[in-house]
Amino acid sequence: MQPTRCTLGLLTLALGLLAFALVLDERAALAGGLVLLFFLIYRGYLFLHASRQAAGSAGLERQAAPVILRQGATVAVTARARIRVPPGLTASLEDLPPAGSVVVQGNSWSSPLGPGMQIPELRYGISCLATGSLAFQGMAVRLGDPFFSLCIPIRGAPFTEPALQVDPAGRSPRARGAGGFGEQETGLLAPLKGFSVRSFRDYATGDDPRAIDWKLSAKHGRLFVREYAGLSGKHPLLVVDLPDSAVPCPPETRDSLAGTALDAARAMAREPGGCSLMVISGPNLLAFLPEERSVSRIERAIREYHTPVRAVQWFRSLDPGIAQVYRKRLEGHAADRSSYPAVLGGLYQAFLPAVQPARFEVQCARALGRSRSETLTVLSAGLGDASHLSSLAIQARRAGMESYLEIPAPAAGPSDLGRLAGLGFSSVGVIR
Amino acid sequence: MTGKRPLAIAMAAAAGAALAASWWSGIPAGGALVAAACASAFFLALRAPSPGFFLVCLSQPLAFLAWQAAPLLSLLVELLVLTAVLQAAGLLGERGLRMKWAAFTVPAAVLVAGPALSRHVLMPLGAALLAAGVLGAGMLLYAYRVSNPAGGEAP
Repeated sequence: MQPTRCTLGLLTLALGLLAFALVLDERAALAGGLVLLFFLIYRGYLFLHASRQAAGSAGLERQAAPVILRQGATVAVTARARIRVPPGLTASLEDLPPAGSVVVQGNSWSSPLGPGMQIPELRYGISCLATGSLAFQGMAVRLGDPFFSLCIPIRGAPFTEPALQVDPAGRSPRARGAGGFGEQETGLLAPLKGFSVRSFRDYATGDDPRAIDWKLSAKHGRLFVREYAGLSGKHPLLVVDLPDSAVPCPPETRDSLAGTALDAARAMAREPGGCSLMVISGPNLLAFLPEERSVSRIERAIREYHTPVRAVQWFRSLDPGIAQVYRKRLEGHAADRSSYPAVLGGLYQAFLPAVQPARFEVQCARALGRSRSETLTVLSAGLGDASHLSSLAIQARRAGMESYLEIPAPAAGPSDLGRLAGLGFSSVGVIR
Repeated sequence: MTGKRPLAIAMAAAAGAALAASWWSGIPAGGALVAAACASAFFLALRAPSPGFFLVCLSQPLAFLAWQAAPLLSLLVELLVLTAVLQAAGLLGERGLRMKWAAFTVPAAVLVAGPALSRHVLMPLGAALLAAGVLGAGMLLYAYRVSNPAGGEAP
């Protein structure tokens, strides 16, 4: 129960009068202070009694469609609530969506309701980012009068139905590492052992008997032990490239991308180094969270820009460094001034001195330098122009990082994979 | 709080009561002071974001003055001001609400009778604070039970 500003003022006045009465032995102040103090207590009891009656009369009929969906998909919810508001009170109702979901359409709360029987209807849409069986969290009844306000969450069985069954949208391939994100097996010896066998050698005293390969030993008549690949932790930087809201994107592609990004970010946040996350949409840096351990902050960053508007667009953008390389290659053809390579080289020569690095390139360079990451994993829908992806791959290479690109299966046609393979990433994977 | 008319009526009544009390208790200058206080209260009540509080706050000198005439008159002034606050807030619009407010006059009279019948404030203050503490604790427990119903069901 929260007091209003007026109530706090009256309480302060009552206590001041009582203190004044005690110090100066003033009975008039005592009478005034006591009347005000007990007036507030009396109003509090009346408010609680009326609130109890109001909350007791509350009911809810909720319909959601679909109830079986993929992660990130939108559910249309229609909630018809009813409540009898006692005289003197105002009420507002809020339907509480399942944990791990976000309201993406409409409002899940009602406008203030006056006294009498009220039947507001709430229509809104939620996007479920968590997976599994998700139940609604109930309904919150907010009541208030000029002196107090109160929020009563009602979480009984009728208020939490129906349950939503959310299937994972996609999982990022983790074959590069033996465990979670950031672990990679190497051919070098390392204190941490992976799961792959890099070689066999003769048994030496002191070797772990569990490493003995009994099949090979039986075949050759002497003991062999397995040498496991070393495991090195490479702190990854996860880049989520969200598709432009102005460009048609299949819902399953968008859902798969968001679901995979959340799944990967949650897994990375549990790692010792946290999750370094960069949310972009084309050449627009939307959020950068270096070494973030708070799952809620990560989810908020991805949810907030679920359908971004790209303020800056690139089309076949050329990196200045790459252009310099082209220009040097074309210098060999300078003898014949009328040939196409010579003309093209002349064009490069003319505009290259004036070219400045784009803001996105500068931001990426700073982010890669700050995150202390050793690998770069880019999750992208792979739609439209891929200049920003190419720029990311170039920046990663300059920073000495391995870079991987992963795209959702619905967008991974043979031509798409071929186009994206030439961007400069170490590998291009498909999110299943 | 909405509505200027109830406030104007309440403050006019308070000013009249103050003038009567000052005449009765033989303090003529007090009446003018209290009337000025009432006019200031009315002005602030219309302008301030929490006019109910200002109305009660600035009517306290009137209640003090009325106490000099008779404790019962002081009680009436306090109840009148609080009635104006409730009326302006729309909390006396129905018969049931008015009956509940009328029922408060009985404990209010008891509260005023305590200081009026005793020579010092210590004993009635201690007893009243003890009662207020018990009632306040009960109210907090009630609020907890209302806002955290068992099993999440509606209370």
